[in-house]
Amino acid sequence: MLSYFFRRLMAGIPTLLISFTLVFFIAHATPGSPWDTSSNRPLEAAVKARLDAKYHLDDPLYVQYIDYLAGALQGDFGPSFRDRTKSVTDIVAQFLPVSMKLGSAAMLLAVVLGLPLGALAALSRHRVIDGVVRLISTLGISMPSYVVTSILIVAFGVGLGWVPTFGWKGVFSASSLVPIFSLALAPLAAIIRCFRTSMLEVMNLDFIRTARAKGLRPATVIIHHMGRNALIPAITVIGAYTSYVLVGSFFVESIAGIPGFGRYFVLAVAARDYPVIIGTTLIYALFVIVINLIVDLSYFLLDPRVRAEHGR
Amino acid sequence: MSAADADYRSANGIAARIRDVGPWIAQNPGLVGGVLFLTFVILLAILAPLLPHDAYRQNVLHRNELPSLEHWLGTDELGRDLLARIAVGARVSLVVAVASTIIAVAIGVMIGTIAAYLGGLVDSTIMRFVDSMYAFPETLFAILMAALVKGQLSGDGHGLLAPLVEAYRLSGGLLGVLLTLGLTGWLTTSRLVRAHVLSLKHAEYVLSCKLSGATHWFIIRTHLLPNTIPIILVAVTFVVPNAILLEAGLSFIGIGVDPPTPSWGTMIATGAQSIQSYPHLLICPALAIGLTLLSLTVIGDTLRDMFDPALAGTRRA
Repeated sequence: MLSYFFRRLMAGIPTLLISFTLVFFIAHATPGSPWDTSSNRPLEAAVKARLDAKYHLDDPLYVQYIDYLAGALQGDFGPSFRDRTKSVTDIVAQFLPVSMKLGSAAMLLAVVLGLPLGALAALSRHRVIDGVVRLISTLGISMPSYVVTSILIVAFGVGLGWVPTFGWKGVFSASSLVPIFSLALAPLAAIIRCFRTSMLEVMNLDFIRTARAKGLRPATVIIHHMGRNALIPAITVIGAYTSYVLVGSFFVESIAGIPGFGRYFVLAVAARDYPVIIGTTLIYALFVIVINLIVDLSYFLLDPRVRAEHGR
Repeated sequence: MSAADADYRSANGIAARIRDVGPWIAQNPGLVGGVLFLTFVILLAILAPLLPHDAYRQNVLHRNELPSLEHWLGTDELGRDLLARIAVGARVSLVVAVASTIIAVAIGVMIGTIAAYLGGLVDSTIMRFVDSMYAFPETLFAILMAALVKGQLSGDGHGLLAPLVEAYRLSGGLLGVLLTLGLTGWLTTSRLVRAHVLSLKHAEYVLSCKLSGATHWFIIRTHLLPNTIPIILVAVTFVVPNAILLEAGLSFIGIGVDPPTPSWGTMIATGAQSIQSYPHLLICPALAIGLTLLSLTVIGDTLRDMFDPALAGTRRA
């Protein structure tokens, strides 16, 4: 098992390198320079040249690439161009935790609601409950987060006045309810769909009939026999959404006024803040790799067949 | 021959079929609703110029008005008719969706077929690249690409780029968005097509074709591509709603379609700013895109169930 994980971990390295290279060249191929300001007093050419020299932007592109890669390997992404008093690491430390708190709450909500609802829909197939749950999941899959956030804010914030509609006062405050729910809806819908399908597949298998024939309590059969087997595909879906939700959504964060990582990324693209763009992207990629590893680990715990195949 | 078959072939056949429509609609209410709404949006987009108001005419005396008989959905922050703007926004969405889907699916089919058919090093290189692209979210990559494409096309443009730059300017930024989405949206298609071609590659008819001396291109053209069409249609059901979603998202951020061309995304972004005082400016475009995507999802689900039972109930590959 250890060697299997070591191999998977190593396979992540080329992925990171490709992401780094791709983003580096896309960012640098985008016309304009970080010193272009929108104010009507542009910087003088001499000043720009000095800034370019200070940040090594006048070096040939391949030299910049190698220098930057060497720095990144040591965890140093350099200073942000937009806010030169801060390093990329500072910015990540400041904005990522906000998005991660919000995202964890959303993911927790999605899993806690999604698995029971998916199971419920599968067990009551073709009845009203199934229809209602499937309607919720179709809505959740097709509605973009900005539409959900907007409608919820209008309904519960402006219309009913139940929750504050803007700002960030920590994950346990009332103002986080709408953003958490908006972020949770897409993964919730996907988990319901996936778990419903896999429960339906499992429930007619022989070992379920055996378990029932042994006289086990229905709850035991559903949770321990069906649920555990149906969980494996659902874990993949949960993993895929986790990295996506944890790093934050630009749309939800900007509508709800949350100072998170997702919003910062778009501001960085607009400002051509190369170090921040590249640093941000690598963190996304790293999240995906780590979470994929955790998903693989959970296969080991859940599925004896996987354990047998890869040895202990 | 059963009685029902006889009934269909009798003079009453057509009447019997019409009688069957009722229960069929009752069984698929979502599908019927989806098709009806999508037809409505397409008609709205085509007939946009015939609406009583112009989407670009500003009227400072009638700003932020609530829906009325004169302006059915009210007016926006510059006094422009909201219905007319939503109709033109529908044009933008549909044009971007269709054009970028054609580009994305063409690239995806090409790459997927090449990877599967050639196999070996080519296949593993291409698929490793595709896997890495999957490591960052599509939205993020689309934002980066949009900034790149927009930057390249909104400059002066000389040499090879000149006609593209001109077309970009004329289309109000539309060209940039559809190129971006076309260049980023092919990943899922390429994976689906590759998996399918891999399963076809060793079929006996392909083998016998090779033995009789057919060229690679002949085999791809006459056997592999036609057999992949159901998979391509499945891919389209993923790509089209995604393109509409991303176009609105990019316009929302401000790197999509250029103002004053209306896009549902831009309208949602400006609507969100006056959410407290004029919620209809936000709700109308949000419902337009929300219901369009809902219709496409329902239609897509049905088509997938029809073409490929193995994919039933899944959304992302």
